[in-house]
Amino acid sequence: MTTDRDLLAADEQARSAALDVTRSFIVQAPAGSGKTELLIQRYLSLLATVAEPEEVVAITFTNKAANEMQARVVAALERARRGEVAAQAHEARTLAAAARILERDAAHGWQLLELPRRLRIMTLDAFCGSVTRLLPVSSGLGGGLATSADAAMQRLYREAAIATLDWLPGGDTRAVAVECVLEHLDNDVAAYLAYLVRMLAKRDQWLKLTGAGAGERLETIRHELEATIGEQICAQLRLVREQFAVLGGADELGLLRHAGERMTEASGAAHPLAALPVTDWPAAAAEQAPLWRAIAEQLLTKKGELRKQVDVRCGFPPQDGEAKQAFKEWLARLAGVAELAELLDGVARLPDARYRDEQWVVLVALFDVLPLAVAELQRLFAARGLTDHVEVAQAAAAALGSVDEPGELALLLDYRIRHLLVDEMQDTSIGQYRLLEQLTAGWERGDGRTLFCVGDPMQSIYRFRDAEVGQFVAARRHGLGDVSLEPLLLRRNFRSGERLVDWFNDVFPRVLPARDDATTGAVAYADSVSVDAHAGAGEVRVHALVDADPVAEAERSADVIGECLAADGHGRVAVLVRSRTQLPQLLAELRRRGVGCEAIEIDRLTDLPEVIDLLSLTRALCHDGDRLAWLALLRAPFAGLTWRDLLRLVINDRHATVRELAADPERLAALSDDGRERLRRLLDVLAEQPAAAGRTLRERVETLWLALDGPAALSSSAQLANAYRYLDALGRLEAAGTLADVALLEEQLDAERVSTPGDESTRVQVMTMHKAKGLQFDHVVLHGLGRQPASGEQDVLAWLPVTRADGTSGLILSPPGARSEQEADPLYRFIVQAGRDSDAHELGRLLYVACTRAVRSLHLVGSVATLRDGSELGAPPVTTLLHRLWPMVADEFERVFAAHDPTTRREDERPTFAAPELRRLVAPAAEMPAAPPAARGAELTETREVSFDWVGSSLRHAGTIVHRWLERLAGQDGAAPPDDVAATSRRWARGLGVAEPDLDGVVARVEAALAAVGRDERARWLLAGEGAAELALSGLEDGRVVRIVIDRVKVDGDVHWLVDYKTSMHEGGDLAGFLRQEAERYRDQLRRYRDVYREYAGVPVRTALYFPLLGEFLEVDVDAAS
Amino acid sequence: MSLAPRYAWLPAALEGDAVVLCGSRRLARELVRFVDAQMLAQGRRAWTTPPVRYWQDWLAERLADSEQASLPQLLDSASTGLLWEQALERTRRESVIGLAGVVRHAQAAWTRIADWQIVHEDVAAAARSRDEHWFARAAAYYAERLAEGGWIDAAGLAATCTAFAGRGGIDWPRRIVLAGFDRLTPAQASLFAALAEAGVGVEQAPRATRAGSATVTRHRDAESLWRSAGRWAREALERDPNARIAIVVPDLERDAATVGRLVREGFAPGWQARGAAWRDTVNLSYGERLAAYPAIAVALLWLEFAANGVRGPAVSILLRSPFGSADDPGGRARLELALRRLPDRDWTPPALLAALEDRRHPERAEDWRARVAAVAALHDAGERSASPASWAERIDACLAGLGWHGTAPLDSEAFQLLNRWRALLNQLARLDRVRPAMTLREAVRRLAQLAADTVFQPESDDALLDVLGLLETAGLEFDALWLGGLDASRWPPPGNPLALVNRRLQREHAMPDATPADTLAFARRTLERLHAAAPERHVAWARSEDDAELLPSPLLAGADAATSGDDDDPGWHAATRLGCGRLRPIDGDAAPPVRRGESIRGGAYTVQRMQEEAFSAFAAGRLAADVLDPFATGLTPRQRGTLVHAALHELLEGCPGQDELRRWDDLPARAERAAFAAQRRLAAHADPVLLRVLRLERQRLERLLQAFVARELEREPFRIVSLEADARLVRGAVELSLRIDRIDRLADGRLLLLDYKAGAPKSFLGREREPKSVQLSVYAAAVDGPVGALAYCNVNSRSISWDGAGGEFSSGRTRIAADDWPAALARWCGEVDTLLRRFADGDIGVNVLQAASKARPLALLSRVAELRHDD
Repeated sequence: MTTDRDLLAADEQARSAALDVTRSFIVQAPAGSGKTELLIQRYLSLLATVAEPEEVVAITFTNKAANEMQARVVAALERARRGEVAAQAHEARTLAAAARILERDAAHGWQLLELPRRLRIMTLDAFCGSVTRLLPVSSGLGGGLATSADAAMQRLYREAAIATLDWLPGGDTRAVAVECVLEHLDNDVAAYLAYLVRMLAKRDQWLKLTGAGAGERLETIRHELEATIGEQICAQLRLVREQFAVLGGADELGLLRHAGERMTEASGAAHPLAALPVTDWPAAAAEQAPLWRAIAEQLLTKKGELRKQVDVRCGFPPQDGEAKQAFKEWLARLAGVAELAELLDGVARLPDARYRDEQWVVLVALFDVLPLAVAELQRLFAARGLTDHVEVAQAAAAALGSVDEPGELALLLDYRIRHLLVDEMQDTSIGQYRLLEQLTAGWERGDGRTLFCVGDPMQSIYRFRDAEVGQFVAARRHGLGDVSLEPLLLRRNFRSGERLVDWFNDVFPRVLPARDDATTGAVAYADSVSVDAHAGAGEVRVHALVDADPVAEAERSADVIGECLAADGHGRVAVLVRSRTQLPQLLAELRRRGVGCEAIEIDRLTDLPEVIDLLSLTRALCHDGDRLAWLALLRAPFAGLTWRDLLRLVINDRHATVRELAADPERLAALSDDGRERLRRLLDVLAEQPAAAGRTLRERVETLWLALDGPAALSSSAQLANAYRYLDALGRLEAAGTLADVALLEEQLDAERVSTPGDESTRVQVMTMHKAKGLQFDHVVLHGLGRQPASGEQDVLAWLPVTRADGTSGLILSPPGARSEQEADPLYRFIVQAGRDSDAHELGRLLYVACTRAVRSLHLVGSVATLRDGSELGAPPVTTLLHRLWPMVADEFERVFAAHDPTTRREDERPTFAAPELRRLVAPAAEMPAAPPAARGAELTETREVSFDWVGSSLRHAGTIVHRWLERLAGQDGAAPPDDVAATSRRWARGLGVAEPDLDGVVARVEAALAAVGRDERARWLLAGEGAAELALSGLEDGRVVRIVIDRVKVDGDVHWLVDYKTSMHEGGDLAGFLRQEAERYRDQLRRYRDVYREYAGVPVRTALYFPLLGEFLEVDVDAAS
Repeated sequence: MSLAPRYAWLPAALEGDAVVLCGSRRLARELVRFVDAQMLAQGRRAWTTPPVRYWQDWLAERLADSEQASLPQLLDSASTGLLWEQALERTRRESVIGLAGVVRHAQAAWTRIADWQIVHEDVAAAARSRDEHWFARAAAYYAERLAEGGWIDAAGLAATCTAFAGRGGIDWPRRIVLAGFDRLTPAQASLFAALAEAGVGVEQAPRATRAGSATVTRHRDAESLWRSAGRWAREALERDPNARIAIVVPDLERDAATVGRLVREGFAPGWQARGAAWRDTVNLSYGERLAAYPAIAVALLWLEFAANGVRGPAVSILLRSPFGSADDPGGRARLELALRRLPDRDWTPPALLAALEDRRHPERAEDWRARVAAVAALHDAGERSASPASWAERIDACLAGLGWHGTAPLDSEAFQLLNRWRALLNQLARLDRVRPAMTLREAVRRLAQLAADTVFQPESDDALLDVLGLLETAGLEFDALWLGGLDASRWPPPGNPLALVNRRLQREHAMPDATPADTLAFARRTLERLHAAAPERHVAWARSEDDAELLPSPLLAGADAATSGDDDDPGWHAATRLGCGRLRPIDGDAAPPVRRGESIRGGAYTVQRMQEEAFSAFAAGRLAADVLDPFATGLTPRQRGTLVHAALHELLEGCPGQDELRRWDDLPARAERAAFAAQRRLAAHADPVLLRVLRLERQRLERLLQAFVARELEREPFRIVSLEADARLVRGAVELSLRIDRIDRLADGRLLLLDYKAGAPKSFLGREREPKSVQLSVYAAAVDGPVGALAYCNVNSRSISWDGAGGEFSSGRTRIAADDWPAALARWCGEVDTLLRRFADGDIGVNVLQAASKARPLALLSRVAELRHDD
C-alpha cells in the first residue's frame, strides 16, 4: 500500500528529475501541484545551457498564461540580479537557475532583462503565426491577413458555404456532388449550409483526408476510414471477449447456439446464433461483429438491461426447460458483473465496418464538396484580409512540412529549437499534437534536444474545443513522434487542506475510470498528498436537497455562502456551476440578501437592461423599416411615448415607416400633446446627426445616445462599462457605416458575455467550472449538481476523431443526413455514443477540476427528485454531476429524504405575466464641459463645394503639361519651347499615367496649346518680362492660413497681374458665355490670390484667366457681384 | 538653464536658395506650419511658402520635372504592386492565399535591399529557404520588367538621382538641409554625398536638445491611460495655449481610431455632441484604411455590385445607405423588406431590377431603381476589356450618376476623403503603363485592393493636439510630450526583420532588426531622441490588457524620471450623467381597447400568440411590429412550407372527393404538374442556382404529393368542400381574417377543418387533452356549420400523418370520444372567445419568466429585461 511518505518521496524524485536538461519528460501535474513553478524552473535550467535564448521555446495554452510565465521568469531574473535570498527551498532552486542565466546573459550579450521578448514563451497559435510570418510563401498563407475567431469568421464560413452552391448550375462533377449532398439532406439548404459551416470551422480534422487529390484515391480513403471503424469495433470486442472468456465457456456457447437454432426454426430465417461455434467465443474481429451483436441482443432487453426472464421469443420454448433454466442461471451470474450491461449495449450498437453503398456515394460527394468550400473560404480570406487560427496552423504545418533536410527548420526559424516545453498538454488537439511531432521530427535521444510536456489529464475539460486527452495518455506510454518521453507524476498538493485532499483521494478513484485508455479518453485518478502546512485543514460538506426547485436550491446555496462568509472574515468564496442557465435564481437570491458578488462572464450583453436603448437606436438608425426598433426607441426613457400614442401613430398602416407616419399631420394630430412633443424632440435629435462620409455607425450611435441623455438613465459605472462594451462590439460588426444584416445584430453579439464586477469588499465570485480552471478559492460551493444541462444542439457532423493506443490518430466519418435517418444509422449512433462516453469521462474530470479549486472548504449543493408521488427517493440523472458522486453521497440524500415532507413539494414554474412599464427619464439639463483651450466654440461652418465633374484624365494631364511648359517659358522673354517639346511632353505624359493609346492625343494637345501661345501676342506679353511663375504663397484668410500657387505673376509697371492658366476647350458657339461661366467659376479662387498677394507684395493687383487653347485672356473682376 | 526655442535652426536653414529636406512628410508639414506661426507672430499676413519637402516627394518632382527624355519614369506603388503580383505569378510554385501580403513583403524586402545597396546577385546567392529563393527569382523578374519599361520605383529613386547628380538634366538647389533623418540608409548617404560632390551644399539640421523633466505613471488599462493622456494634454494647453503638445503611441497602427476616441474623451469631454469643432481638436497621424470609411465602402459595394453581383445583405446596405441616394428612405426601406422575402442569391443589377419589377413587390423607390439601372449599364460593359484609365473614368461617372457623394456642400473631412478617392482612381488610371487592358471585374478588384491598402486620415487645421506614431516623431520638437503604451509587450518593439531575405545576409549588412541588439539599439535611440525633443515628458504604461497582466518596458528602468502610482482616470464623459436621471414610472399606460375598424394582423396566429403571451399578440397584431427575417439562401422553411401548400392546392383544385382520388390513375403526372405550378412564381426570377434547388424541391414535392394521396385513400370517406377558404371571425370590435387550408365534409355531414403542417410534425392535443395551439379552435369558432373534427395534416419527407380530434382522428394516443366532442369543441371555442376578449381589452402582459432567448425577438419593445431585474 502506498503511504503518504512514499508519495512525498516520489514527488521529490519527480521534481528533481524534471530539471535534468538532458532528458525529455511528460509530467502529470495534478491540481495544486505547483506546475507553473516547475515549468519555470525547467525553463530557466534550459536557458542556462543554450547559445541563444530563442533556442528554448515554451508553449502555453493562453496568452494570459504566456504573459504570466514570462513575468515570472523576468521576476526571477530581477530577483537574482538584486541578489535576493530565497526563503523557501523551491524558490532557492529558481533563483539559483536565474543567477546562472544572468552570468550567461552577461557573457553572450543576451540583454534579456531589456529584451524579455527574446524569451520565447507563447501560445501555439502565436507560434504558428510566427512561422507563417517567417515563411509567407512556403506556408501558403501569404501575409497581411488578420487572424480572427469571432462572429466575423462565422459569417465568412457561411459565405464560403453559400458560394459552393454557385457550382450547382455548372453541370459538372462538382455540381453533381453538391446536388447529391443537398438531396441527401432532403434539399434543406439551411441544413446544408449549417453542416458546411461547422465542417469549415473544424477543417483541421478532416482536411488531410479530403484534401487535394482525394478524388483519385477514393479506394484508399475508403479503406482507411473503414479500417478505423474496424479498429474501434475490434477494441470494443476485445473488451467483451476478455470478459466472456471468464464468464462463459462451451456450455454457455452451446446454450446461445441452441437458442439460435430454436429461433431459426421458429421464424424460418437463419438466426446468426445458430451458426455460433461452441468451442470458443468469436474472435474480436470486425467481421465477427454481427455474431457478437446477436449475442448481446440475446442477453439484453430492449432497454439495454440484462435479461432476467427468457421465453420462446428468445429461443427457449417451454419444452426446453433444462436449457432455459441453465440460461437463466447464467444470466443471474452475469447480472452480478459490474458494467457488463453497458458493455453489451455498446456491442449491440456496433456498426458494420463497411459503409453501405448509399452512404459511400454521399461521402464521395462530400469529398468533392468540402474542398470546394475550403477553396471558397480561402478566396474570401484573401478578399477580406482575414484568416482563422485553423488556417494559420495548417499553413505553419505546411511550412514545417516542407523541411526536407536536417537543419533546414533551424535555418527557416532563424534559431534552432533545442528545447521545447509544452504546458497544459492535456488540452491539446490532435492537429496540435501533429504539429509538435513535426517540430520535433528527427530529434534523437542524446542529441541535446529535449521535449518537456506538462499537464494534467485529470483536468482535461476542453473536448468541445477539440482537446484530445487520449493523446496525452498515449504520449505517456509511447512518446511523441520520434521523442521518447519519461513519465513523471507530481503528488504534492500545495493548495488544499489535508481533509480535502483525503476526500479527493477517497472519492475520485470512484468518479474517474479505473484505468487510463487512450482510445476512449479514460483517465484514472492519481493520488495526491497534502503538504505539512495544510495538515488537519479543510472540510467537505454535502448539502442534500430533495425535490427542491431552482429557487429553493438557490436559497440553500445562498445560506451556505453566507455561512462561509460569516465563518471566515477574509476568505473568498467561489460559486461554481456547470452552465450559466443554473444561475439566475441564485444571483437573484444573492441580490435579495444584499450579498455582493462578482459574476464572471455570466450575462449575455444584449440581454442587459442598460443595452436595450442602444440596441433600438442602432437598429433604427440602420433600417427605417425596422418598425419594432423604431417603436422601441419611442418607448425608451428619453422619448417615453405611451402605448396609446404609439398605437395612434401606426394604427391601420403596416407598410409605412415610423418616420413617414410621423410626418403625417392627421396622425400627429391624433397624438396627445405630450406625445407629439416627445416624438418631435426625438426626431429632431436624430436629424441633427445624419450619416456622414467618414463617421462610423459606432460613433453615430454613441453621439445620439449622448445627445438623448441615455447615460442619465443608467445608475452604475458597471452599466456604463457594458454600454461602452456594446459600442465597441458594434464597431467590430459594422460595415459601410451600417450593419450588413440588421436582423442578425443580437445573434452576432451572442458571444459577448459580461461580468458583473464587485468592489474591494466583494468576496463572492460566481462563474462556470470551466472558467474556474487554474484558479483557487478559500471556499468553493458547487451549485446545482443535480441539474441537467440544457440539451445542446445535436451535432450533425457525425465524425469521431480517434486516438489509437499508440497515439496515432484517425477519423470515423458518417455522412450527414436528415436527423431521422441519421438516428437510425448504426454508424451514426456509434459515433454519438462514443462522443457520449467521452463526455461522461470528461464530466468526471470537470467535477475534479471544480472540487480541487477549494483551499479550505468544499460545499456540494444538489437536489434529487422523488418518485411515485414522493414516496421514494429517485436517483440523479446520468448526465448530472451528482450522478458521478452518487455512490459516495447517496446516504446523505437518503437521510434528508427520511426527514423530507412531500407536501412541501413546489409547483412547476408557470409563466408570470407583467404589464410592460413606461418609465420616463427625468434629468436636469446636462452642462457641457468647457471647450478645450483655443477650440472654436461653434460648429464648423466652412464647407466647400467641389465640382467633381470628371475631366477625362488625358485632358487633365495635357493641362498639367502645358502648365509645366508655361512655367518654363515664363520670364524668358519670348523664348520658344524647345524643339523636342513632343519628346519631353510624351515623357511627362507617361509619368502622369497617360495610357499609350492616348499619348499622341495628349502630346498633340500640348503642342497645339504651345503653338497657340506662340501665336498669341497677349501670351508673349504675359510670359515675358518681370514676374514669377508658380509662385507659392501662404497667407491669412478669414483667420486661417491658406496656401496658393499662382501660375503666373506678371509685373506690368505698377500693376501686378495674377494669372491662372486654364486649358479648357470650348466647342460650338457662345464663347463669350463660356468665358463668363469660367470667370464665375474661378472668381473666388482669384479673389483669394488677389487678397494674399496684395498682403504679400503690397502693390495694385489685377487678376485674369488665360486659356492657351482658346487664345483668350480674360480679366476677372473679383469684386464683381456673382 | 533656458531651453532653446523649437526648431531654432530653421530660420538659418531657409536662408538663400535652400531646400529643407525632411525624413517624413509629417515633419515637412510641421516645419511649414511652424514658419506660419512665426510669420503670424511677426504680424505678417502673407509670406512665401517655405521650401520644406519630404525628401522622396522632392526627388520624385525633380525627376518628373526634368526635360531629359532619357530619364526613367517613376512608377507609383499601385503600379509596382501590380508588377510584383505579376512577378509572383510568374515565379511561384505554391498557391498563396494572402497574395497582397506577399507583395507587401516583397516590396519591403526590395526597398530594404535597395536602401542598403545590396546587389541582387548577393541576395540570390545568400538564399537558403524556399521563400528566399522565390524572392530572388521574383526580384530578378521585377527588375527586368522595370528595365524593359524604362521605369524605376520609389526604392530606386535615391540611386537614380545619385547617378544623375553630377550629370545635369535635373535641377538641384544650391543648398539642402536634412532634417529628421534618424538613421541615414546607405542609399541616402550616397545620394547626399553625390549631391555634395556636384556642388550642392548638404547640411544636417542639428538634433533637438530640449530635455527636461519626466514623469512615469502606470494605469489600470489602456482605456484609462489614453483618457488620462487626453486630460494631461488639455491641462498642459490650459497652462500654455501656444504649447506644442503631442501624444505618442508606439503601435498606433494597431487601433488608431480607438486611441483617438479615448484621447478625445480626456481632452475634449463631450466632443461627440460638438461635432467637427471639437472632434478635430485632436489629430491622428494614422487613420483608417480608406476602404473602411463608410462612404468609400459603399462606393466599393456599388462597384462590386456592378462588376460581380452581390448577395442580399450587400444590396440591403446599398438600399439603406444614404450614400448613393438620400431620397425616399421609406420606399427604399420597403424595397429592402421585399428583398428579404425573396430567396437570396448573387444579385446582379439586371437580375435585381427584374425581381423588383415583379408585381407582387409594388414598393416604388423609383429613384433608387433608376440608379440601379445606371449601374446595370456599367455591368453590361463589364466583360469587355478596356484601359484602366477608361475604367477609372467610367467608375467615376457611374458613382456621380448614383449621386454617391450627394449634392450638399462637403465638410472638410468629406472633401479630403473624396479627394483621396479620386487620387485612388488616378492610381488605377496609371496602371495603364503596366497593364494596358483589363475587365471591369479586375479594375474593381484592384481599386478595392488599393482602398484596402491605403491608410487615410483627414488633416485638420484646427488640431490642438497631435496623436502620433513613434516613427513619425523623427525630427519633431515639442513643448510637452506624452509617451504612452510603454509596457514590456510593446517596447522594445518586436523586431521586424525581412521575411524574404536571408537572415545572415541581413546581419552581415547590419540591416534594421537583423539582430535583437539592433532592435534594442533602435528602441533606446528612439527614446533618447524623444527625451531630447521635449522639455516636459510623461511616460505611461498600462498594467493590464484583456485578462493579462503587463509589465513596464524594461527600458523605463533607471529612467531619469519621477514615478507615480495609478492616477485618476477621467473616465467617460458619459459617466458625469450617471445617476443624474430618475426613471419616473408613468401610471395608466395601458394599451387602449381595440376599436371598431382597427385592422388586426395575423389572423389565427394573433390568437395563438395571445395564448402564449399577450404582449406578442399586441405587438404583431396591432402595432405591426414584425421581427425582421434574416436573408436566407435557398428556400427558407417558410418558402418550402408555402410550396407544399401551393402544390397541395394545385393538386386538389376542383375539390375532388375521396372516390375521385381513388380513380386517379395518372397521379404521377398530376403530381408533377402540381409541383411545377406551385413553383411558377418563385421560378420566374430565379437564378441558375435557385433553379437547381427548385428542381430538387420539385422532385421532393412530387414524392410528397403521391404519398399524400395514398394516405388520403386510407381515410374514412370524405369530400373536399373548400381549399384555402377565407373566413372572418368577429368578436366585438375585433375582426380577424382567416384562411383555412382545407375543409372536408365527412361521411356524417359534419366538417373537418384542417391545416397542413409542412415542417416538424405537430400534435394537436397536449398532455391535458387540450389543444396545444388555438389555431384550429379559431377556425372552428369562425366557421358556420357543424364541425366534426379538427386536424393537422403533417406533410413532410418522413411521412404523411394526421393528428387531430373528432371523427376518426386522434392526437398521438389521445382520442376524444364522440360523446365528449361537442363539449370539448365548445370549450375550445370558448377559450378563443376568452383570448379575444383579453386582446380586445388591451391586455399586453409580458411573460417575465420566459427564457431570454425566447423573449429576445420582442425584448426591445417589451423591455422584459427591466421587468426581470425589477423582479
